[in-house]
Amino acid sequence: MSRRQLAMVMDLNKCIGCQTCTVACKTQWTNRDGREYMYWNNVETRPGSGYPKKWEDMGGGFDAKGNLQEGEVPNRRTGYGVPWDYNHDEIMSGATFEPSADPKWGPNWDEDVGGGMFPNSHHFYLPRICNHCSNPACMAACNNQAIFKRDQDGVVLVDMDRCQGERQCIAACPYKKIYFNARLSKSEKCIMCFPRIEKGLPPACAQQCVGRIRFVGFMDDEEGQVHKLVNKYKVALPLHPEYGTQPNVFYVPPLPGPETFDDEGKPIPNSKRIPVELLEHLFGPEVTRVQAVLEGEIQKKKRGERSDILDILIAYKHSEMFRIDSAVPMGEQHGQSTAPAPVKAPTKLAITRVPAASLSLGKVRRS
Amino acid sequence: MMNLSLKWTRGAVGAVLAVMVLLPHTAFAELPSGFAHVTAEWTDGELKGDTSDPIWQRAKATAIVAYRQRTAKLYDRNTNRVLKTAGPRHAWLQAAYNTTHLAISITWEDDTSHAMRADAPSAFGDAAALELPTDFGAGISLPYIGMGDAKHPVIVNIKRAHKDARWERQFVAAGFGSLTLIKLNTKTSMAYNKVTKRWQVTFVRPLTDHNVDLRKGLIPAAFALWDGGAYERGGNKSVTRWQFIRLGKFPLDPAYAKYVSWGESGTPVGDAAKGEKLVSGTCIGCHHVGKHKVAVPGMAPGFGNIGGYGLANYLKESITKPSAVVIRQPNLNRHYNRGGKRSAGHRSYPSSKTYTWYTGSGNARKSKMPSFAHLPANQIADIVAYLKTLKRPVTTPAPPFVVPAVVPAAAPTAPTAPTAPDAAKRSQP
Repeated sequence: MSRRQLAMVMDLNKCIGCQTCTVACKTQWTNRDGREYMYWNNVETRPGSGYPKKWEDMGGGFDAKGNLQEGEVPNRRTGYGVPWDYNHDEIMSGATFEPSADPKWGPNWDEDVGGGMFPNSHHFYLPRICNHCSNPACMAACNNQAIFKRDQDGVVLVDMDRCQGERQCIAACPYKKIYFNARLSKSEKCIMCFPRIEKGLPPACAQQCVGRIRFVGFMDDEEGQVHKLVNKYKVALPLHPEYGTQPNVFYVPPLPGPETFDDEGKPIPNSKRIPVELLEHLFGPEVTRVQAVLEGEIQKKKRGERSDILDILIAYKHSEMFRIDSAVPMGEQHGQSTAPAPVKAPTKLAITRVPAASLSLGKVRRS
Repeated sequence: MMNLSLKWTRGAVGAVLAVMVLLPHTAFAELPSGFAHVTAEWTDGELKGDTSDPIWQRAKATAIVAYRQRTAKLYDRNTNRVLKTAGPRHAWLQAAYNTTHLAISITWEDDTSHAMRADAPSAFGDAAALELPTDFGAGISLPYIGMGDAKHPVIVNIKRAHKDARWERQFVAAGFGSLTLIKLNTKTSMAYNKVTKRWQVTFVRPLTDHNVDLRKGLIPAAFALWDGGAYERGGNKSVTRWQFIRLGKFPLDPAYAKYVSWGESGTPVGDAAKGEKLVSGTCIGCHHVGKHKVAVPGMAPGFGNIGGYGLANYLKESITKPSAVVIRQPNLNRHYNRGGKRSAGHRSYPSSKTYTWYTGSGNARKSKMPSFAHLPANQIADIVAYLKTLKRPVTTPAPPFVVPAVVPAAAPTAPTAPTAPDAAKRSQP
C-alpha cells in the first residue's frame, strides 16, 4: 500500500465517445517501439465486447477469499486486433481501397452498436485505463517483483530491468490493462503519465478530454473533487469491484437514459432505457442508489437549489478537476487543514469559464 | 543488489594455476568411476564455440535429463492446462576450452521449434539457460539449483528463440525472484535442427572474469530448458541437477571431487525402502514427500522432482545443515500488501508469515527446519537414497546423440566470436 493514492473519476454521463483520450495516450506513449497494438487508454461501447475482446471472460483478479485467480494472455489478432492502415496513396492511381491487414477485431470494432432495438436502442461509452489498484493482481502474479506501487502516489509501474517477460501479470490482470511488448520482451502499461504528474500536470487523457469527464486527485485530499465524488458523496464506483483488486479509477454510472417507447410510440413512464442489470454487472449493486442520488441532485438544480455534486460534475475548471499538488510536502497531507493551499495546475491549463448558470447562483464553490 | 566486486586475491591464485597449466603435469586425482560428468575438449587454437563450430563434432557428449520444475503458482490458464503433461526431457552436454575461454553446448529434443515474435504478445519461445555459481570448491555448499540463494549467488545466461530480435539475457541471482540484469562476457548462439528435431544452444565465456573463476579441474554448471510450445517461461521450466565439467588441463581438487560425487556414482547410496520408513516417521510432518501428503500444504518445500534435480550431497546437506542453503520464497507479492485496505467481504490471503520457511533475511536467513545431523550416517544415506527416487520416471531411454554436422542445421544464428577479454590478459604469465 502506498502512502498516498492518486485516483481518477470518470463521469460516464458526459462521455461522448470521441476517443480524444485514446489518441492523446497513443500519440504520447504507444505509437512506437512494439507498443503499436496497445491502447493503454481505450473507450469501449457498452453493451459490447470491449477491448481486448471479451476481456471480462478472461479470468484473473481475486476470489472472495482473496486468492489470485488464473487468467489468459489475450491473442493479438483475435483479442486486441491487428493495427492496420489503408492504401490511401495508391487509390489515387486507380487501386481499390484495401486495408493493409485482414482485421478480425480492433479496439473500437463494435463502437456505437450497443443493444436493444430502435426506438429503444441504447448504449454508453466506457473509457478504460489501468486502475492503479490498491491490490494489483498484476503485482501479485509477478514472480520477479518487477511490478510495484509508487509510494508517493500509488501509481503501478513495471520495473523494466526486473521484468522477464513471463506475462503472468497479463494473465492475472482482470481488466487486461497490462500489455506485452513482444519486441522488447517486457510488459508495459498505463503509467498514469507520471512524468506529467510529477510536474503537477494531469494525465494526457484527462487533460485532453473534450467532455471534461475526468477528475484527477489524491484520495486523501479532502478538498479535492475526486475525494468528494468517491468518499463524501459516494457517487463514483469502481469497475467490477468483485475482482478484488481495489481499483482507483472510479465511474459516475450513466443515468437510465430517456424513457423507452411502447409499440404505439408512446413513452413508457419510469422506464429505464439502459438496463440496470448491465450497469450492476459493471459497477456492482450500488448503481441504483447512485442513480437515485444523481436524479435527486438534478431535481434540486431544477428547483434552483444548490447542488455541490452537480457543480463538481459540471466541471467548471481544470484547476479544480485536477489537483495534483506535487509541491505539498509528502507525509503532511492528511487532516492538516492549516497546511498551505496546494499548488494548482499552471494557470495556462485552467481554461476558466464561468457559465451563466453559476453566475446566477453566484456560489461556485472553490476549494 | 548484491556485490560481485572483483575478487582480486582469488584472481591472483587463479593466475598461478594458469601458469601451472602450461607446465607438464601428470597424475592429478581422478573422479570416481560411475560419476557422470562432462569431459571438456581441449583446443590449442581459437575457440569460436558457436553452433557452427566443428569442435562440437569431436567434443564428447554426455546425456543428461532435465526435470520439470514449477517454482511458483502460475496464473496463466493456458499454461496450467498443459502443465500435467510435462515429463522429463533428454539433453546432451558438451564442453570445449582453450587457454582463455570455455564453451558449453546443450542439445535437447524438441519436436517443434517455437520462437517469440515481435507481433505476437501471446507467443512463447524455446530457451535454454546456463547457471554457474560465483564461488565453488571444497567447503563451499553448492547453491540451490533454482536461482541460487542469499549465501550462494549464481550468474545466469538465458538464450531464447525470437524470430525478430536477438534475445539473450544475463543475470545475477540470489534466490527466487531476485534475477537482476548484469553484463556478462558470455556469447550465445542457438540453432534448431529440423531433421534431428533438436535445439542446440552454446555459451562461450572467459575462463575467468570478475564474476567467477573457472580455471579449476571440475566446474559445476546447471541448465534450464523452456518449451515455448507448452507456454513455459520463468519458473515453469525443466532443470538439470548440478552437472560437472572436467577441465583436464587444471588440477582436480580431490576434496571437491569427493564432495560432489558422494552418492552420485551410479549405485544407490543407501537403502531407499529404509529411507522411506525414516522419512514417513518424521519429515512428512512438514514436507510433502512422494505419496506422503499429510502436512499442511505450503508449510515446507515440496519434493516433486527433487531426486531429479537434487544432487545427492545437496540432499544430505539439507538434512544435516538445513541453514547452509536457505531458499527465498517466491511470489512475495502474492498476498495482500501489509496495511492494505481490504474490500468488504474479502478476506486476506493466508498471511505470508504463516508459511515462511525461515527466520531472518538475506545472509542471516535460518531455516526453520531443525538439523538432523545426529542421525547415523547410514540412515542419512538411506534417506538420500529414498529422496533420489522422487522424480518423474524417464519413460523413454536417451536416444543416441547426433553429431551436429552429420545433418545440416536448419537455421544457425549468426556466429559471434568471443571478443578479447581482459581475463585473457590477466591469465598470461
